[in-house]
Amino acid sequence: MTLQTRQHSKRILIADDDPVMRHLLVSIVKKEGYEAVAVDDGREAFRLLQSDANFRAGIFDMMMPHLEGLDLIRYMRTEKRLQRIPVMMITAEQDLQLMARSFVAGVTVFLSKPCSAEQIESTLRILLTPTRIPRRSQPNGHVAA
Amino acid sequence: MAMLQLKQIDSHALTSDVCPRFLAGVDPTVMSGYERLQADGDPDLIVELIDLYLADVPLRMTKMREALRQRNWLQVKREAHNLRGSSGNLGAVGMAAICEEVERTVSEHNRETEIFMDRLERAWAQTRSLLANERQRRLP
Repeated sequence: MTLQTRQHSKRILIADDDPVMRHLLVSIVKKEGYEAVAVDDGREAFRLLQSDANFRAGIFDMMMPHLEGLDLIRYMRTEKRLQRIPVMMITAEQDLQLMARSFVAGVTVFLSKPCSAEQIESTLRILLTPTRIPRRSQPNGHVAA
Repeated sequence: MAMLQLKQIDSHALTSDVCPRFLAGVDPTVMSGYERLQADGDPDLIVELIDLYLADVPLRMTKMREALRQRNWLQVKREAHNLRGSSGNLGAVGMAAICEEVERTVSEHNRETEIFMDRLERAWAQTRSLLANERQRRLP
């Protein structure tokens, strides 16, 4: 899979064990013109990523059963074919240290729950912006420098 | 109109003397914020979200109760954390507030958590009723 192919992929991987949030994310991703591939825990996402790198981006919940969002990111950053996939991390935590650790692990953008549809949409657009710099910070979404 | 009714019920609940801080508040502006995501011809998105929430909460609360019984504090905290997130995203602010208290207080030798769990059960009964009414109103 070349970088160019990946950037043209319309598929976005969503991993969240909260069915309300997952359905909301799927609706927003579709509305933005992308194809949502949704799974309900980190292990399922991990299994998928082992054989499929054709994703434009990933949206992961921080706290999921079996395999947490940060572990998933750490795996992705060690695999060359997955390294360039930008990832949005969603969490109900308000912990700055956790946010810092997430960016170090390779998270691209960070979104705190609860969040409005507008906040998800704007953070998603930042996530999908081809160039990483400059990216604007959002009221509830934080962007890696 | 029904959103307004939700707000009125909520206001009434919040002024009730039963347990003012922890009653089942539902912020109708959160759900109405999702209306613009509704695609033509698709099933009502808000009804779908309500259905998912109504099905998910009992499972999470059962897990919380079971974890509490087993004195598995980490699991109690985890379930409360998850329930806080989904409640907040549906505007169930009363549920979210109590979950936050469960998360904050859960630890060994702490009876406060059990008290908050009881409050959560009561808040859930009211939240479920409000959401079921809203669901009914939205169906054709």
